[in-house]
Amino acid sequence: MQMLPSFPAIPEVVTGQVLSATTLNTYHEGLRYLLGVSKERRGVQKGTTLWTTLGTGTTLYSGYAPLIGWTVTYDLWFKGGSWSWSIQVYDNSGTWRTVVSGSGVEHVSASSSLTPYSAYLTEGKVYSWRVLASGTSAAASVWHLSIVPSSAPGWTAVPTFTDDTVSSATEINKLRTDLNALNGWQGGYGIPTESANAIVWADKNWRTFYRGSFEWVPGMSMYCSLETKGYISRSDQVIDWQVNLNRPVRDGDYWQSENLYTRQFTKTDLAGDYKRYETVIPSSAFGTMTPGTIYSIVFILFIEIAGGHDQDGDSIWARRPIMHRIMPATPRSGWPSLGQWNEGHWISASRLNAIGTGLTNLYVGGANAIRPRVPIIATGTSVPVMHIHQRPWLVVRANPGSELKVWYAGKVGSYTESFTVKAQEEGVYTSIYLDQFRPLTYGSRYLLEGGTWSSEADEAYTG
Amino acid sequence: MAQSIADTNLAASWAASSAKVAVRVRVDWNRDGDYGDVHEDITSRVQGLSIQHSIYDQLAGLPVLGATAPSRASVVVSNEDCWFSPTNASGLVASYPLIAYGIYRFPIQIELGYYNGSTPERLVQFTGEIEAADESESASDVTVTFACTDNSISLLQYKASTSVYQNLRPDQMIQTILVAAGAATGSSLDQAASTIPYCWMDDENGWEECRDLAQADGGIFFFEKDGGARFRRITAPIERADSLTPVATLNQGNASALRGALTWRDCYSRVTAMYAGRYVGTLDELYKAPSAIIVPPGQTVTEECRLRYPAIDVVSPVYDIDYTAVSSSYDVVAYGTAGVEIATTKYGQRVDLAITNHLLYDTLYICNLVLRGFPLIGDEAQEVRYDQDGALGHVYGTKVYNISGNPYMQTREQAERVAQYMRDRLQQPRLVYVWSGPACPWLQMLDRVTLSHNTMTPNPGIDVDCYVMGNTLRYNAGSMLMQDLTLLPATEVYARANYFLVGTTRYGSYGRAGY
Repeated sequence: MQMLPSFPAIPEVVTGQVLSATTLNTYHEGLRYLLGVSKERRGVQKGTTLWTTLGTGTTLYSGYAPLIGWTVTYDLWFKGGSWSWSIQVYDNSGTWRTVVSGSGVEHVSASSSLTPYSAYLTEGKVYSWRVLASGTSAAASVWHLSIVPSSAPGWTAVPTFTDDTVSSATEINKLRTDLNALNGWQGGYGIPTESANAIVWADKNWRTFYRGSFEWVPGMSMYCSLETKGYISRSDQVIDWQVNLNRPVRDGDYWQSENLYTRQFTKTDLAGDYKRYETVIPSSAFGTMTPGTIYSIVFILFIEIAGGHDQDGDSIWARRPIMHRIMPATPRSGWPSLGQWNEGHWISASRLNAIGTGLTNLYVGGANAIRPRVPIIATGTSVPVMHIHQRPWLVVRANPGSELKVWYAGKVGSYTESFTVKAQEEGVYTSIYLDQFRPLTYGSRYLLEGGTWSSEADEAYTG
Repeated sequence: MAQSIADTNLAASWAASSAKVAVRVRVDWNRDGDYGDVHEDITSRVQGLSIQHSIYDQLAGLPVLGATAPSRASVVVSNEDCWFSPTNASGLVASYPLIAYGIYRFPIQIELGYYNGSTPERLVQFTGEIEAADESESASDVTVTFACTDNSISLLQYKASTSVYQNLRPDQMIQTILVAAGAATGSSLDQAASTIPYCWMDDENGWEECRDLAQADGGIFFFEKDGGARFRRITAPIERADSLTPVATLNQGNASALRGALTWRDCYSRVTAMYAGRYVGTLDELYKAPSAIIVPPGQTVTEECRLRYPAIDVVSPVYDIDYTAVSSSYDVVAYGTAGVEIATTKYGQRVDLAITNHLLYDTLYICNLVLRGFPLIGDEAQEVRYDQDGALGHVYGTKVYNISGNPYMQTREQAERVAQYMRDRLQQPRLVYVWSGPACPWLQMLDRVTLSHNTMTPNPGIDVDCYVMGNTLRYNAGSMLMQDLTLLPATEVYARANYFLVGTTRYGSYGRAGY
């Protein structure tokens, strides 16, 4: 039975108590756990692939997300004649309630407080969200929509310790308070990524197959993969898989675009059944990026008509795209050295201050800031959602009795192996304890099919 | 922590060559929480008494401090007029009719001290309840002997079930048990050093659970003289003021006897501590009713369902999934106020279902009842092991002390902390003294005293600080108030003398981390 890493129970100290190495080590353990969270692999958010033409009350985007905090963030694009938009939540009273709206601005990248709607929403509960827009001769694209906690609850100023001053339980306990605050800030959910319907592309020129949006963090690289098969009539012809970066700057009908990676599939590559192709875009390939800004990566399939050849019936099938960030193992600047405490060690200010440095480093604005959020996503029951196994529970929104299929990479790495679980009979939300499934090793990717929303979670969902 | 003797002359009276003993024994016959009612002061009838407090068990020894029996007292009172006899209609029973059923579980408090001139100065020496009253009659004497147990009696008789609590410290769970058992008054619980991932009670004895909880932190649980529960964490003797500074000097001037025994028996070269983690299993069937549950019309039946495993949560039974309901006429009975309703109360390893049959005429049959939940599954016990320290350990050969079987020892951190402190305590033989003399009435468990016998015995004599581990008081009317103290020398019970005390020690090279 495998056990997942978990945030430690950190003891509170009291005046008069012998301060123990075990207690001090829980501070380090908590910091290292949170550093891991700051570096965790996070799926990109599947946005609208290109532009959606607006009519009256067009649903641009819809999905579900747990209310882990009281802020909604969004990154929306508009173009054309005139338009207006609103973000709505289906609240406790069964009403679609508008939480933010706007009009006329081409690029809206902002956050909005949900606190004014606290009478209609319950923290921790999963809600249905949507983006509505109306327009005349206009189109729109959604890059990003997520829920973020406003601030770490209970966070207090990190104490500074000075040698030769008398110790204080109050000051030492602030380390515990802040560690718990940062942990509580997380919301307890993973960041999955919605995949896409399988497509068949048999036309010359290009097809944007998938758009994934992400917040840039310095040092990150991006894992990209998809499964393909297809037909190429001639051995000297190829079909491209291009991975392009879209910067949040309009360029003509679309956005500034840079190619990050191209794979040319040959006749041999695409023969037979689906095969997964993958690549990791290194951090250095991204060029100049702004931390905290939302960017997009698109997968493009391109049937090249090279050398004057005709298309000759060339075609490509693609499915199950996956994109997630990978952070470097080494923390960014300023991460403290956290040596193990042992019985008999002197309790010096410098060693305690190292804990404070770690806390500051993880907090808002710190070099390794955690930046918790959960994406608002939804999927058709036949479209898989990619999860990275980092939490003990998988919460799935599914019709009672539905069969949920989990595809895992298995020995061949192509997600051809699977197991099935059944959604709980009595509830829309099924909580699955993942420790029971040996194929799901910590950190591995897997695909879930059959639900309309899912997310890994620290605890079972109780609604 | 020693009792306060501020504004008294008790220290001088105790040290004086003679002092008059001040005694008061009171019983709360009407159980109203005070001792001020008529006939509740029985001092004038007291012929003799003895009291035993101890956290050191002679048989169990140093490894299991605190795992002793509750404190006891025995009070012999005169009963020549059959005053205490339940059958004497003109005796005490006339004022307190409950006594007609026998003297059992009436609160009692014993105070002892010395007179300061004509003013009695007394300190509470025992608070508990009378558990038995034995009448005896001889040619010269008619007495009743009250056998008393301290306030742990509430816990000893308390069995309870609770839900599963997560991440509680031992002191928090002890407090929960004390409150539930009505024994929380006057309690003083140290904040434990460890956190227990999962705790619950399943029809278990409160006293045993509190002791197990304390020992899972390496600490001690007992009831003090004032009747309040005490939890002292493993480092309490090097933290508490009255354990750091002597509160009395026991010198040869007022001693009647002194014995010292080297406890090689309590000496071990290795300490191992076992811990067994628990994890949450997948949703599973935890209970299946062996037969249909029958509920007469218009009635509520409570079904106690014992689960296969303790459960972190149990799904309230869902109609048509976890059970079906039919009437005696084989009609399907709908859920709701016109049919069947089930209220669920969840405990750690038990679920109580209050099943109500709203039918007016038909008996209800609950069929195929199952309960599903997330079980807490126990891992195999794991072990941490610590050998004697090269510089401090003095045990020849290999002798292993094994700490095992405690369900609250669930994490490696707990096991390591307890095993290492225990290793330090047990790795060398300790002289355990028993000092006898006139009673020093303010001493309590873990108080530090100076044992000074350096002129009476051939040099080198004894001049050592000790912790009070046991305290027996004896008094007979007209005689001295005597005391036997069991004392553990404080030297090297802990590996270091300069551990870092929060709130006292300065940061820097002044205090060292404990385990």
